[in-house]
Amino acid sequence: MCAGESPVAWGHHGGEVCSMESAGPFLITIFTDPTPLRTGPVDISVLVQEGNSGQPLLDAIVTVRLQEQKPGKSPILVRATRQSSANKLLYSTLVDLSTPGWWGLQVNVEQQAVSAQAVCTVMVTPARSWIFSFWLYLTLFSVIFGAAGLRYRFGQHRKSLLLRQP
Amino acid sequence: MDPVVTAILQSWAFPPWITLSLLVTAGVYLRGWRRLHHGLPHRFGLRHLVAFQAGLFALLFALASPLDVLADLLLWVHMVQHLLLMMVVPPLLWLGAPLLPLLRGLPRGIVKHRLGTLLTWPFLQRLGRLLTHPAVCWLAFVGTTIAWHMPRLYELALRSQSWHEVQHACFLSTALLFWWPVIQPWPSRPRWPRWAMILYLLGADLQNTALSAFLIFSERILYPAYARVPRLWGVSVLNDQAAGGTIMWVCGSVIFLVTVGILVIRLLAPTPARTVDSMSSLRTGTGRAPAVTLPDRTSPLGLP
Repeated sequence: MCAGESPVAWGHHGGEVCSMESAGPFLITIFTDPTPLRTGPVDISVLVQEGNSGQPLLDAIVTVRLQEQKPGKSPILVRATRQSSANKLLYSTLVDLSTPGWWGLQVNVEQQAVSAQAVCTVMVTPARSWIFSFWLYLTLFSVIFGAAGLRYRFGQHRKSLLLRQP
Repeated sequence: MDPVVTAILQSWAFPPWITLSLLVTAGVYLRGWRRLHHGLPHRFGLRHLVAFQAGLFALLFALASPLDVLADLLLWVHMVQHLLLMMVVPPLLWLGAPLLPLLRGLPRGIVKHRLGTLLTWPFLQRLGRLLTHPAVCWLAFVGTTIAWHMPRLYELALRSQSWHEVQHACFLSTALLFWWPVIQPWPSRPRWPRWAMILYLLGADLQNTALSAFLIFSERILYPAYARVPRLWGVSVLNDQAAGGTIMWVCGSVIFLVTVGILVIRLLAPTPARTVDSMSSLRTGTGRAPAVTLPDRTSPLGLP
């Protein structure tokens, strides 16, 4: 299965480093996001640097190949671009990983007729409930509404005490 | 321009909820400021509006600009972001004297029936008085800064986006508390004598210096997360750490000491007598200056 260019990937922070290795004249770093990887849309970002100076290279052609490590599964092939990334130094793509398990990730970088590859293996866990994504906001809202509720409750209690006084 | 620099300058990422919240806050403040400027033009001048909006812009810049994008790769960039959150945004916001404009900018029903009930809650008022006590403000600021720069917590913030947001929220909220007694936005009144703010700021500068020196002169990598990410332009992790500490030291100290300088100048300057401002004219509705003359009691570091 081959996918075309992906929409804008989130995770402008790039995510966690999956692999950082010298490959040919390049230094290739692969980032994945979220951490840990879960089934569903996954951001894969690649930083391509010149091996000696560390200068980011912005004119490379980067393709990402994902292969589920189970027999009979077709690979996912997708192009990573800088336009898809909020961090314009990175080549990013958004891929939908539908099944949990081990996945092989291979990045192919080509620049000025020179190509190199970097690989890593990632573990994709089952997706969690959406509630976990918003735990911080849910906690804040609970505290605010709890405080407002307590305020109302004690206010009502105080009013009833005042009314009972002769 | 260098294509890499161009790419960095194009790396903006606007978090939707934060951007929306800041835009709404700017709008509410503007609405309230316009109403108050009509009645109290000297108390709520254009410079207050500019200061507050500049503070909101600085906050958005810290969270949405290439600073946020590069902060995970370079410690010194992360330090610049934190400096904006702690040393630039809060003073600007308080210089805008935002308390009344924000209340006046909200719909009347919300202020009267919802916020009014909450703001008159004695528990909340006592909590507010406690939190705005200068000693509490100072300790919260210094404690939060030190705690979040401890390697374990800093690494947690680098690993988890949620904790990163908690870190930023802690920095911003404690910095707002810290700068409250220094700026003392109108209509609040100082609880300590103004000369005590000099010691207050110098104490914070001492903490800033100590923490910065720890970063600069440490011979080991304090935040291993930066050793696990690719190094841009061959900058080593230790050099990056030292640069971060230097920025924190120099910029932080400059801001603290300039503020001390302003306070000293204002303390040594003769106190000009002034007529009671147009609060009286607002009460009487006549617009005429009354006969009573009082010493100037405007906010010590606020705008005249």
